[in-house]
Amino acid sequence: MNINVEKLNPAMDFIKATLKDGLLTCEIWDRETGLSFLSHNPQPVGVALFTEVTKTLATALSDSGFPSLNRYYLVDLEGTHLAMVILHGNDILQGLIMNSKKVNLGILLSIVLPKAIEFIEKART
Amino acid sequence: MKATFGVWSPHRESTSVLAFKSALGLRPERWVWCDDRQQASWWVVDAALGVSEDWTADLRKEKEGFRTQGALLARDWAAVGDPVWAFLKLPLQVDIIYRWVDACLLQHPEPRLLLSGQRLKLKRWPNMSRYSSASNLAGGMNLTVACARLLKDWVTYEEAVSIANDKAALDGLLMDAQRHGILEMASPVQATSMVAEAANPTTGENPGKTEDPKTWSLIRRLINKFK
Repeated sequence: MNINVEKLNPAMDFIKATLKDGLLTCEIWDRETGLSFLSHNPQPVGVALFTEVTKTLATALSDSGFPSLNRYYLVDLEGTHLAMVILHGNDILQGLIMNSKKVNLGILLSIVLPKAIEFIEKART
Repeated sequence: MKATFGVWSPHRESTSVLAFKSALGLRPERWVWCDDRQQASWWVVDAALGVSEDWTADLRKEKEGFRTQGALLARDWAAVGDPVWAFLKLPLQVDIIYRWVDACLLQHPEPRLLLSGQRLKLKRWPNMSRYSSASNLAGGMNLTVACARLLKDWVTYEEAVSIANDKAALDGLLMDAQRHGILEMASPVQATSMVAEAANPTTGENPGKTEDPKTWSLIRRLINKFK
């Protein structure tokens, strides 16, 4: 995997500026090693957890004959927490933990998600 | 000035905090306790013993301008009042701590050292094998001699460069030494006063004749390695 980490900065700036105080944490990491490239309020336990959940979910979907996991999944957590995991190909994961009361789902899915995918695609060298 | 590997905790007596510090101690860097949180780059709190709002507010401010990181040790996420703290689940898992530290160091690399005009001293030998090259034995020996001088006395950066005769290799070695907490830096005035203290004039010792035979034996052994 070749990624220009400096080119990831605009992605983080954009997400922070768009979601404002609705964004609690955001992290972009290598799926294989779990090493984070860029983060806003890094949460190492979250990285380990969502790497494992993504792996299990992808395997379970594949084994069941269901369509495969595509670009992202959302998890509604207790305490007004909303977690979103974006799959950037097979090698990079991005996790966001948000305050579900402060985040507009329309903006998240129609603006933040496509932009995040675009930024990371551009950062690949 | 902040200690790159300085750790501050209001809960030093906590077994969880001690376990965290012990885990850091197994890494190659030289981690030290700091009494003043403003001087530490790494803050660690035990959620069971309480987290002051002041610490959280200070950490938020620190993270804006410095490379300060905060770890909150807790049984579950509910203890994380503010995500500015990195949640580390108890019991601690060393691989998660290391991955977090590695990521923080990767994302916030050391600012380039301004070495020019500085006086430098090494606290202990760096891993010389990392910088020696089989194709350039003379260069490796020069670098070893420069390190020997840096271990013994305060040496100006320019002087060290002229001894090592390889600026790039010396810069790399000094950057690593700084990252691992074994490089001391001082302005020329500070270094002079430290040298004067080290010479200890009350005992009448001549600093020029206090060569440590152990140091020279180590140099000889290192030189033999290059032969």
